[in-house]
Amino acid sequence: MTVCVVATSLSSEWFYPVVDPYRTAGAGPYFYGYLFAWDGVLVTVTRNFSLPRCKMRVELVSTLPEIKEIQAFNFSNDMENDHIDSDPSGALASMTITKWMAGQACSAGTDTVVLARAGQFGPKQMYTFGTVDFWDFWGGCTVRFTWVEDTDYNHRAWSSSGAQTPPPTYPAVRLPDGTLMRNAAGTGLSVVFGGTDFPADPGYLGAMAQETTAATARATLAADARDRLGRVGVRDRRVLGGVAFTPLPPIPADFTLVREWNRPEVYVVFGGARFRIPDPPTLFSLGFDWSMVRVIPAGGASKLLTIPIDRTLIKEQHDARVFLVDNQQLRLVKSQAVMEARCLPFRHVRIVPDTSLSTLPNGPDLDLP
Amino acid sequence: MTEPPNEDPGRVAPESSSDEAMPLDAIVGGFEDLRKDAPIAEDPAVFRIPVVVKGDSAADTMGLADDVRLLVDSFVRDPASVEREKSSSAPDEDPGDDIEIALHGLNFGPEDERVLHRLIRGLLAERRAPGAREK
Repeated sequence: MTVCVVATSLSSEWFYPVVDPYRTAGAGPYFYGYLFAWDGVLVTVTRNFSLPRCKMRVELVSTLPEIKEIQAFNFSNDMENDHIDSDPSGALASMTITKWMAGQACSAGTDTVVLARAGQFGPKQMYTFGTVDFWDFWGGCTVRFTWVEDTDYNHRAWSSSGAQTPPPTYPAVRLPDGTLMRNAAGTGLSVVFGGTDFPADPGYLGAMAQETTAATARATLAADARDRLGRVGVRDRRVLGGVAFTPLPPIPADFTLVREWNRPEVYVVFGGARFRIPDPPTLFSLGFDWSMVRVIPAGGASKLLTIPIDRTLIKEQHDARVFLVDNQQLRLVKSQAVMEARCLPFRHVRIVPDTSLSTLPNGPDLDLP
Repeated sequence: MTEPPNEDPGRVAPESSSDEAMPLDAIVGGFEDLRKDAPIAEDPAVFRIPVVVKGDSAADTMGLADDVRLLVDSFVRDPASVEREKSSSAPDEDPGDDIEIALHGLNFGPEDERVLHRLIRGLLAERRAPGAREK
């Protein structure tokens, strides 16, 4: 067994949290705004099914005059093994990086990426991510860094250092639970739970005692606030209580619990699919409680999928077998070694009530790559 | 290096819209997290030596980075006392030849670095000793 232990020369203040797409509503692409100490970067994460989870396509786009670079960094070597530079014309630069794998020398592979600005005497103002989260969350994806703002690093930082930045709160959603939102046509209201919207029927609104007139007025009058990246952000909307239409993902985030207001069935959502929780003891034994159950409009559960989206890892509560959803089929992951060789993180394994998976289609077992 | 877009664009989840049109799913960092009084690099509450651990199995390395970080932090503050404490409490153990240790950015002299290598190897040996998991 190889163990690599490294104290890296990269400062702790450069390490920023990685946002987990598997705790974000929808199937992607996911849009994350990073306010680094001196820079603003939009990170777009797209599941790339042509890549295994041990690889990642990294893209850099910037129209800023100063050159930016992204280094594919290996901690043991304390240096990059590849890098891409921005082109101020806005042309896309890209590289595909590969994770260090068990059995390899510590100097092999890419542990993380380092974002830097090209200074006269070398890279300046570095930002990076911890290895484990970086690969667990963004492995197998195309990750585009769009560098939208830079500030003078001779002046005080405009935002927090990585060490000062708290981890993201989950689920990552564009609008908080319970938000009433005008629909796209402006003809009615939707209610938001788990980051997705459910059309709200009059019966639901009455039962929930929502004040639709006030909500509608706010929806019409609220300004379209934008953040420092020039984009509409959740925080701005919270501040304004805004309920103007916002395009939302079609499926809720993992761990969303729902019940239609006129029905007793409770479902937990993983990979956008619903799994019925048969009774209260099961609800509690899965680590949930009644306060987590969101009451949605009638028919709302029909929006949920029957088979989770691809790349969902799932198991039944009292069955040790773990399945990967691939091509809309359940594939048995044959061993822990297969999990690790395929860079499938155990923390993304979702647990559903017993027999929940019995009706889903099965594909071939998943073996070592 | 500039490459063409994905080799197999048909299998990539389609972008539903341009970046510019989409609201954000999350925002990381911001003014509210910025501490006003302490310059970033001098804030002891947030300044820690980053330690990275990679291993064949997640189970084998679980918590190891934190253990090594604590050891390195203590050693940076007071090398002599850490060495004394470890020498008196643990026998010389060899965790094996499959350990690679790299200490970058600590600016130690060769002797301090040698001692820290030995302490880290001792920590690994302790974890690998029979019954260590139960402790």
